[in-house]
Order: sequence, then structure tokens, then C-alpha cells
Amino acid sequence: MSTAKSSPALQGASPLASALLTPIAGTLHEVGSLVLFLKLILRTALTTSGNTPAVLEQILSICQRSLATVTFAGTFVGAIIVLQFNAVLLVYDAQIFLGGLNTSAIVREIGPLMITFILAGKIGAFTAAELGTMRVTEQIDAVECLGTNPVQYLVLPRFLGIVISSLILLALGIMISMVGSTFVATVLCGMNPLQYMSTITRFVGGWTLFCGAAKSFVYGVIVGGVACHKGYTARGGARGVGTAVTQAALYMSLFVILANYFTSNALNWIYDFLAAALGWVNG
Amino acid sequence: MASGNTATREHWDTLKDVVVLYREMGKRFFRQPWRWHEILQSVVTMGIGSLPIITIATAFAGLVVTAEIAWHMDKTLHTVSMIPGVTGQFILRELGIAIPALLLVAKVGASATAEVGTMKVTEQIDALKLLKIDPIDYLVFPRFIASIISISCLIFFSIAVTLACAVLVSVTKFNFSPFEFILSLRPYIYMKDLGGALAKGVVFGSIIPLVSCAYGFRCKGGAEGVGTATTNSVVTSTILIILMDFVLTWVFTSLI
Repeated sequence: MSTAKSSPALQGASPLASALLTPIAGTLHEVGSLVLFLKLILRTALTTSGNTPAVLEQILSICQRSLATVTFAGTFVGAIIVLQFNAVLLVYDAQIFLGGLNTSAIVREIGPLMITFILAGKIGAFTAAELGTMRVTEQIDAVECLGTNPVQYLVLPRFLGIVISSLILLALGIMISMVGSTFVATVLCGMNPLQYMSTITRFVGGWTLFCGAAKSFVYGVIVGGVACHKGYTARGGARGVGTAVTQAALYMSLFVILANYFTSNALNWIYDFLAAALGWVNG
Repeated sequence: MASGNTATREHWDTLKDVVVLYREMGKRFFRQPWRWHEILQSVVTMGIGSLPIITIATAFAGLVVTAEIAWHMDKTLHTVSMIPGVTGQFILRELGIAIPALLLVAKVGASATAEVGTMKVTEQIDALKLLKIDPIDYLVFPRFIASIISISCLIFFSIAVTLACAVLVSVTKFNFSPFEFILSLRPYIYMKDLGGALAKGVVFGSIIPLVSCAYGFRCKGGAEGVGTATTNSVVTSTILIILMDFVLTWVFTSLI
């Protein structure tokens, strides 16, 4: 953000214009830096080999650390949405749709968002702090001096680990959330479990699952990209590491919510296009 | 990272600290000299400092949720006339409260833990005790009051912003007029929903500073310890907020 204040484009602007444009310029600067860093990671992934063991190790570590939180959050978020939808559907005497609507909302919207927030809070902040400490204590320069590509050795396994783990944790979170929702619907909303599950297949088909997976993939790229970028470019000692972690947390949340809007619109547009072009109607 | 048993015991001990802090807050609530200067300073930092991100995030969340609910309504009931009612209810009861709460955990909770943790690691809290200033009175209570005030206000603000974006989507995509939207929204919203939003705001606003300060006071080990404490406090706050959201939702939908 401080670079945006001193950027040449905003020199000599009136205080009002400067106050309005500086946050926008700062955010655009961040988006641009993120895209360039993702380009670097992509180039490293495509031109180097022998990365698989390190990536698998990172996936194992990330899933192991996030398992308890995802289980807990999945159950309770599913329960909350069941209670809310139940209150609305009872008014219209449409309680039979509770299962389908709840699962559809979890798979399409709330599942990816919740998994991403958990991943960002636990793993993203930790990765930014880890890489930031390595950068500030010059360990990344040491790795480069020894002839190893630091992006391949340090950044790529963590980035790919976060992206693939977000898909795995999404699948796990959805399954656990369905169990929790069925339980709450049976105990607190007076439905039969089979009644609850009868409308699920009507609302959730291959397309809905693809939407959830695509959104989770995009959010995983954002969380991994921002965390690794902020850590990799940290400077200024221990305080710089703190700044990097705080900014990483802020931008991860902000970019994920912006991406939520754009991916939802893009996926709806693709669905309408496919339905119109191929007559394809699916959940 | 500590092995399973030690880490769990530390989390459990910190949760017991949070309960102790709640009792201490209760005691200080009735003791008159409140530190208004610190309270108002925290209100500015937490409340007004979070306004930009809350506005943008809830605006985009409102746009997405309205589009999604409209898609589902179209698929099941083949009508769009109930979009204002259903969307308004969902925003007022759940969405306008959960999203700002989770964003504020990341912003307010992380910075509070980092600040208190750094003070603990650089022995400033011991210095405060030497000067006979109670660290809970000086650090925790102002943040507690400021957090309750600003998070409640920010939740109402974000409900308003989300509803405004729902109106925007309905007007541009589904041929509602703004007045028509508000008219068809009115029969579906009750004072109970606003009371629930206020209750959730107060509860979430009380959880975030106490969990952050509890993790900050227990921080040890230099800069790396501060980072670990910040991460743990964000995760624990998120879990506690989801849990209390479930309890309050159950209370307000079934029991009241």
C-alpha cells in the first residue's frame, strides 16, 4: 500500500482524489503482483521435475493439521444452514425440499468459502510466516547460493499442497456437513432422515459438484498464491514478518470474496450457454 | 508444532483463561472509572478501520447470494416473486452476520493477539505490573467494550450494505423496482430478527477480544511465538464463533 501512495500516477492529486484512489490503486497493485508470482510458479512447475515427493509431503501435513477444524466447522455450518432454511421452508409448507436446498447451498457456496477461510486462517498464515521468516533470515538467499531454485524447492510444494488439499478438504467437509445436517434435521426439525435425503439428488448433480470443485480450486490458488507471495517477498526483520502475515490474511479474505462473485457469475453463464447450446439440463 | 497431547492441553488451558477473563470483565463492568480514552481509540481502530473491507466484502457476498437464491427459486418454484422475502430473511438472519464476523476475526483478532503477544514477549506487561497498572484493566477491558460496540454496529451496517446489493441485483436482473422490493420484503421480517442480529453481534464481539488477549497473554518464544499465537487465536475464535452461531440460531428459531 505504501508503494501506491508514492506512485507517480497519484503525484499532485487533490487530497480527496488521493484518499479515494489510493486503496484502489493499492489493491490493483496487489492483484498484479499476485498474478506475476503465479506466472513464476506456473513456469517453475512446467519446466522442472522431481517435485512429486515434496508436494505429497506437504499435502499430508496440511490435511493432517486441518482435519479437526474442517470436521467441526463442517458439522456446525451444515447445522446452522439447516435451521435457517427450515424456518423459511416451514412457512411455505415446503419442508421436503430442505435436504436438497441445504446440500446444494453447502456444495455450491458455503462449502468452498468455509474450507477456504479455515485453510487461509490456519495454513495460509502459517505458510506466510514460515516463508517470511526464511526470507528475513536470508535462508532463501542461502538456498539460491547453493544452486537450488528456491521457488522449486520451497514455494512450489507449498503452493501445490494448498491447492490440492483444498479439493480434498472440500470433499471431506461436504460429506461431514451432510451427516451433521441430517442429524440436526432429524433431531431438531422433526424430519425423517430418508425424507431429508430424498430431494438431494434432485438438486445436486454433476454440475453442482463441478461448481463446488472449480470454486474451491480457484480459492485454493488464491490462498496459496497470496500466502507464498507475501512470505516470499517479506522484508524488514521480525516486524516485516508480522506485516506480511497480517497483509496475507487480509488479502486472502478480500480476494476470495471478490473471486466468489466472479466465479459464480462465470459458472452460471457457462451453464446457461451449455443449456442453450446443447439442450443440456443437469443439476 | 507440538504433538497432539501438548497442543490440545494448551488450547484447553487457554479456553479456561477465556472463562476467567469473562468473569473479570463482569467485575470491571460495574467498577466506575472506565478508561474512555482507550475505549474510544480502540473503537476507531477496530470499527472505522474495518469499514472499507467490510463494505466491499459484504457487497460482493450480497450480489452472489442473491443471484444464487434466485437461481434456486427459479429451479424449484418457477417464480421470482419471493426473492425479496427469502433473500432478505437469509441476509438478516445469517449472511449479514456470519461474513463480517469471520472477516473481523481475521482483522481485529489477529492484530489484537499480535499486539498483546508482542507486549508479552518484550516484557512490557511485566513493566505494567511493576507500575501497578492492571494489564487486564488497561489492555483487555477497553478492547472488550470497544469490540462489542463496533462489531454490533458493523453487523447492522453490513446487513444494510448486503440488502442494498440484493436490491441492486433484483433491479438489474429480475425487473423489480426498488420500492416493490422493499414492499414485498416487509411481511417476512420481524423485530425478532433484528434482536437476533444484535444478540449475535454482542456475543461475537465479546468472544473475539477475549480469545485474542488470552492467546496473547500466553505467548512465549519471541517472534515465532507471536506468529503461532496469532494463528491459533484466529482458528479458535473462528471455531467458537461458528459454535455460538449454531447455539444462537437454534435459540432464535426454535426456542423463542
